[in-house]
Amino acid sequence: MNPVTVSRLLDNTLASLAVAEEALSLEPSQRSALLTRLAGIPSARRTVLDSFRVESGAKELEPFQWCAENVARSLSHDLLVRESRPRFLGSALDSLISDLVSSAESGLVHSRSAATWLAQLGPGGRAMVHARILTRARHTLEVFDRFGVAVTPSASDTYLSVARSRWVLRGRRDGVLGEPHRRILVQVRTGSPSRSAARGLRVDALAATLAHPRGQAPARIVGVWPESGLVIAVDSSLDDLRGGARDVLRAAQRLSEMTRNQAA
Amino acid sequence: MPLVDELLRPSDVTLDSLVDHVRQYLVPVTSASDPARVITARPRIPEGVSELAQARRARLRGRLTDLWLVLWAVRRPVDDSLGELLDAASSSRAYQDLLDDVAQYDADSRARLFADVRAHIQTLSEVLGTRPARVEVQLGVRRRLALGISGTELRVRFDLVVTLPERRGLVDVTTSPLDPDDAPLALLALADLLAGYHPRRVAQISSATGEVRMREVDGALVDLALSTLHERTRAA
Repeated sequence: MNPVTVSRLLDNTLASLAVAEEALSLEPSQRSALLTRLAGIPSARRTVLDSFRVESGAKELEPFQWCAENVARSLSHDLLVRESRPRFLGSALDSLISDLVSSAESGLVHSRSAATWLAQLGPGGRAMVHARILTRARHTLEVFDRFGVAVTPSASDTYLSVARSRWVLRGRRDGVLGEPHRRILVQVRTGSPSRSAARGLRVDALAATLAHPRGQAPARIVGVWPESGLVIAVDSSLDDLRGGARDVLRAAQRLSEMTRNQAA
Repeated sequence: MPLVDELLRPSDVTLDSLVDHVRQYLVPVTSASDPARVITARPRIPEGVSELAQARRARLRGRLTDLWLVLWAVRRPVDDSLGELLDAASSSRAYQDLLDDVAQYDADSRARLFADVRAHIQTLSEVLGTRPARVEVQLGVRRRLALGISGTELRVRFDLVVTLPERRGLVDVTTSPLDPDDAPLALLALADLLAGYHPRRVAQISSATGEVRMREVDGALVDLALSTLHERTRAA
């Protein structure tokens, strides 16, 4: 495995990570071998496997519910895709929220979508969501600026539905930079990195590789924790991707057993 | 001059050499680990107000004032009943404890709490004025920094960070009277410097009295922060 780079977020830290070697591509046989093993693990319901599952270990997660914090991550992506000039973020967000509320009111969106949740909030609740999204978007832009090169905000995370199973692989990403064959994925995280943060980054790199049409891995994945002033970077070698795959399979096995025990 | 403009006034202090100076206190990072001791920048409670500040109502007052800042940042007025504050809290996981606590209050206690909060909000509103549209605001920004002093971590939270291009001001809001000590402000500035930012000024506002203490981030403030760190590390 490539060594994990853990560094302080100083003036030139991110700029020094903005150039990477050409990335490897997984052979179709390697890709299908992993996905077949994953599909072989039973899952009673549609379940998302991601770095969060790997980093949180055996802890049982609460059922998903929208709140200002998770809406902020999701909608800050949409906001930054629409507008990346800090001065105009506020007005772009007003129009984004208004579009979402209109779509919810027209009944064209899923009843469990962020738009439906937003539409039923009062003015105070919307103000809270507004503040959380703006703070998150500005935080993200601040980090992007420090790379010294253009970082493209990602419209969403990477999702891959595993064929013949109910597993969905999710790779977190907030931005992408560099040429396509040596792309670098960027994540802006809150709080402090956990002890297994590097393992989580490998899982995100794996999901991005498997979801790529030619199986091309990101050359590097950079996790930035501005609150702690820390940066963790992982260059994705074949061993790193295998490490990520082992963690994903272990997490899937654990979840499968947990569901089976609950049913028994 | 409104407080936010004052915070973002140009400054003659060059921070580059200060930044190099303070970074020697950071440990080289090899992996995430649990700190042996944590130092926070929150002001010590002045003598005579400890009972008040530790009370449950004081904590709720602080949290509700914090919520008001959210509405201030997005330039939304709050109605008299403070219903919007609780409405805002209900959409966030971070304020679930606040809703649970308020729900346990009877009508009288709730009315007293809200009257108290309204007074704090009024004071804060007069100090902060309307948020200037050109200024960017971030709320509740946290820093957790491992220092080069045997397993010590510095943890701070800025209630407000206001920025203009190349200018940055930090604000701590407290619902207690201000402590005459500058050390908490110094630690806030140090934490931001260590995280790689260049704050120009740091201020503390008391929503109880309307007092404001503001300091320019310069060599003297950084020296104060470093000596406070050493003192607190020895005392811990």
